[in-house]
Amino acid sequence: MVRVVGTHEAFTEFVGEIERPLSYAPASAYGPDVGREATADALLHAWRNWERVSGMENPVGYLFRVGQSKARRYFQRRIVLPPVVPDELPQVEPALPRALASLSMMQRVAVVLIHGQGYGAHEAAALMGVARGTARKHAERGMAKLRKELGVDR
Amino acid sequence: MSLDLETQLRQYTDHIVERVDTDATIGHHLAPIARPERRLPVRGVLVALGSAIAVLLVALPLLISGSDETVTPRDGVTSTTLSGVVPTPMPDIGSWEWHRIDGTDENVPGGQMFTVDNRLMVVDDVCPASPEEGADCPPPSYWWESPDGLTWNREPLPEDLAGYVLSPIRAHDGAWLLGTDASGQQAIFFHLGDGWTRVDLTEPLSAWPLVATRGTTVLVVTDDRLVVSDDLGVNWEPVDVPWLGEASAVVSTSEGFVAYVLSNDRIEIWFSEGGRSWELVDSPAPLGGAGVQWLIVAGRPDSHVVAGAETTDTTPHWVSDDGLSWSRIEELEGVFDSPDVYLADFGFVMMGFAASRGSPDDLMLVMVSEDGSAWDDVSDPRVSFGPDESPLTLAPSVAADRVFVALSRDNGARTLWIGGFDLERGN
Repeated sequence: MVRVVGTHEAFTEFVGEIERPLSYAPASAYGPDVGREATADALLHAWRNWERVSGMENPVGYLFRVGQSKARRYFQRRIVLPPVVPDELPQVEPALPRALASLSMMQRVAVVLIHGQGYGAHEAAALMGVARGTARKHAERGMAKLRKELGVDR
Repeated sequence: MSLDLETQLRQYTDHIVERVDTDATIGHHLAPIARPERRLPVRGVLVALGSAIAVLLVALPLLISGSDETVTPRDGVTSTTLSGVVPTPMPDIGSWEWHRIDGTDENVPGGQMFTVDNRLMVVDDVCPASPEEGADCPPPSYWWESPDGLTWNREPLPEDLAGYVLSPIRAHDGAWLLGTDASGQQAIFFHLGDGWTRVDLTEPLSAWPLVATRGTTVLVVTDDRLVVSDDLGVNWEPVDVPWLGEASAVVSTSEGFVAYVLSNDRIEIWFSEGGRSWELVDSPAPLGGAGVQWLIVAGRPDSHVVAGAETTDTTPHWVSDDGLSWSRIEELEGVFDSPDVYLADFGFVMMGFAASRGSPDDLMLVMVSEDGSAWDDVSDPRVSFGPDESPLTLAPSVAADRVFVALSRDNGARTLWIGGFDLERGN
């Protein structure tokens, strides 16, 4: 749980702590382009409302929802996940982006956080603003669908 | 592949996040007020923010009102209700039809689509689906306008119009676009057909603004700013934003304006008769539940509908007569992923991706309702996109009693689907 108070030094520390996990969620939900804008907007929102945000029990979860709200206003009505370039990711299945894009948004975010980045269900749930069981359920369903799509069993 | 799925996921998501260059984005948003000569890393931005904040506090009251080039009113200024929609009874659902129009870039635009005064407007695609690494999205170059989706006029946009802040607005003499220049320092009110005018800002716009119109009053909400015009965009006045969270939606009702604000763990509902003085409405759930990920609202004076993604795969939605008190109705279980709701002459249209994607063809779902309480699926299985084909952009919109879904693929192929009741007879 991130709890900080204070001025811009505290905010800088806060950003250093949450920027990466905050980036994972919108980037996996909407793709890196919209995710970038949404994350930046959410961080700016945090700064402008720092006094209030710093006192929140779950500021990351709140900023994730702010990022989602922002992302919905951007141009793109599509999820563009970058292709797997074999030279860069030689051991990643090229069909993975398509399979990820086929998940529902919440499934995709849960899968990326829990199975892609090793977050605990509790941490992922806090970021997503949902109950722990819900985050776990989204991740399980998402992984099952991914395995089916990719034809793998582990 | 020898790696297990989780390891592949880790490598791939690391790769994605490397592309989320937040530093550059924040730097772009703040560069004009901080250090315009270079891109700022996040921490540099934060330091710059500290010094810039004092400037902003002084400058904010001057926002918008500091126009150095105002719009000249024209004769024939008319009052308008929300989106100009006049409710009419919904025809028999069995008469719903879809028409497909294929074309080239010249006559079937596929970019972002807006509706203002029942005219269809499309702005260029902003980003290619697979931009080169590190490449910025080019700004839009053209806009198209059509009364029916069949015939289109194309006009150039200002060369320095930035792409990421653009919104349609009903102004004193018709349809306008609100955008900013590339620096974010100038608002561009772009009058469709007559060129554009500019309003200097003292702070960059950083998000798509929310716009609501009631009579001759126009409300624009962007981030922590709120401006009101009582004469359909001729003069603007900044108003202190009463809420602390993120305004997720703003609509007009028969009584006034209603804003829905994303608070810490619930949706706050704020009401204002004229857009200047606001009060927090002590509204009970259902909109107050934790876990509402986003909120979309479409409304007309006698009926409203809301949809929000909650904690499951369902798409709960609510109806209200006044925008303040809400009743939750049947769930569209497992149907939508990120839908939007639009007003139509006959009621409401909900469009979005099918939540059960992963089938050979992903599907764009379209549902219609007269009052928001019961919905009919009018999707056409042909309005879909196959993952194996080149990526595409979907641009849905509604004008009068027609639903439009513009598809544009990276290979340049563009398609427009037009849906409606009894199209043959209507055309």
